[in-house]
Amino acid sequence: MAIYSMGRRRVIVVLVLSSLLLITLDIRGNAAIDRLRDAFSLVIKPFDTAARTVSRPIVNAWRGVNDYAQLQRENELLRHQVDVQRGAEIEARAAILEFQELLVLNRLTGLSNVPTVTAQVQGAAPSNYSYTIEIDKGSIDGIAVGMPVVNGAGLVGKITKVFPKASVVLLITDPSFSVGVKVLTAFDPQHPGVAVVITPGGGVFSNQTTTSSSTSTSTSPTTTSTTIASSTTTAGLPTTVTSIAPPILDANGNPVDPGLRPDGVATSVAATTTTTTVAPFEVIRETGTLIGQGPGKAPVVRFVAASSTTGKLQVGSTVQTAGGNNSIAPAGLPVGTVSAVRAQSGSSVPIVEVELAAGDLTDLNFLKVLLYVPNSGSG
Amino acid sequence: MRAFVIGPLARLFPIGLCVLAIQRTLLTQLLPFGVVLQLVLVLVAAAGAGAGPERGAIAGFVLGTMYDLAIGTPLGLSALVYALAGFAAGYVVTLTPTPPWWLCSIFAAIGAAVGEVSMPIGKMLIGEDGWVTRRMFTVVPVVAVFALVLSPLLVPLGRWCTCAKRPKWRAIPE
Repeated sequence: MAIYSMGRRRVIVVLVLSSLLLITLDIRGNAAIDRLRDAFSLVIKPFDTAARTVSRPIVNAWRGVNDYAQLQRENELLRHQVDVQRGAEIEARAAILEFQELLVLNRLTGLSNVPTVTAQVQGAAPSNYSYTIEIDKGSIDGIAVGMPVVNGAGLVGKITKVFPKASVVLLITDPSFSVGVKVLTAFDPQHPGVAVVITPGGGVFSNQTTTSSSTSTSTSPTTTSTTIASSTTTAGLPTTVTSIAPPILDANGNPVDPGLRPDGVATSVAATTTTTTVAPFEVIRETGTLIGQGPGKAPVVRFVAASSTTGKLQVGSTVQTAGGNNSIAPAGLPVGTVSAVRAQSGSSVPIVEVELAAGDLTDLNFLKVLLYVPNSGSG
Repeated sequence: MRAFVIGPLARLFPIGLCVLAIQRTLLTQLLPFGVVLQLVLVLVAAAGAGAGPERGAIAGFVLGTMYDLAIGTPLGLSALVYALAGFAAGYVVTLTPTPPWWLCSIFAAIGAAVGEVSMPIGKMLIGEDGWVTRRMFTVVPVVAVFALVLSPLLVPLGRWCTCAKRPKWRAIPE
């Protein structure tokens, strides 16, 4: 038998050319291929369901044999973490309330305004060369390509394929994943070694900070006096005082000139005094692109060019999505913390490795899809 | 040529759906050495080892296209890679006149290894960089061993799917 016959060569050429044509059409975007994918997802769904049901005992047995010791260790560790988190949760709730108040005051849109869809992970990527997962919600639930996906802790990935009743999420660890992020570093020039925490809202807190607020109102037939005092103090740090005089209102609630009250009643209004101690922290914001690095490697943030502050990036700095009109995710979505800052040979721009807030991406169960459409702010 | 393609298609499609479902559910949970075992690829390689390079390539193209449609990888990429794997497994079979079953298994393992090596290279060629790493030294042998173990079962199935018959050698009449 001849190894290269005309028929054989023709078959191979036709298959190679067909494959190349399909790749080209799909990469350029083709509605017919998308419809074919949707149809195929519906065809394979019953087979998947049957296979999942049949394989469940096998999977459980496999896990029982392989993962028992690991699960026991993990369980003990998680119990300890739950105890620690109970205290932190109460603290975090108060911080969230403050954050929401600040957002309202500044007329900003918070992440809580973005509608979400909760989805369950159906399966992981069946390939060794892609980091994707499939979730059980699709276009019927309002999910579209590009929407960010989070778990309780932070960004997990983005939607790359949408079927009517399922979607494919490209995980943040996949080398083809990228998203604009900002690295927030609170740099204390006086105490460079002191850890400073930056909250998702961008506020700076240290353990020494105390906050107090008081309001007193006294009314007499001729005199109304209102004093609101609020102060945030940090030991040993300079204090900034801001005074704002509240407007004087008439009986109908309309503002009037303080010197021209029509009823002739003398009014004395004390200015609202806000005393805030501003910590001399320098908050450095470096914007770059977070890129997945594949299996077993931490994603890295790459910067376009070095700035005067890139040298001050520290391990432990907070990494959040940068937002913007063309970003897949709204600003302020937690991504993780800086785990290492490495110098690049031949370049003054460092590479920043990020430890993901979302944790172990190989063991995801429930996720939230933010129905966030870029350019509109929210879903 | 038409029967050469239509016959295998009618058998490959339902078998492919079942194998894909197993690939997407069971095999994503069993991860020896952290590697996802590639049942579809092994079936393609087994079809090549059992039915020859052309039929192996056709099986690879059909099952690869189904794989792309189900997984969401660029359509045609797995088709190309799996066609190459089927062809490679079938090509090495043609070098031996009557390969015994164990030799067919080795050829299927070679085809599976070729497919698993070609996938990251194919991804790199279409711009999805970052997969040609040292991890391939773990992934490729594990998938090849999986093919070696399963191919005694999958070679006859692959042969049936591609409508091929076991070659029978007859004595040349004098």
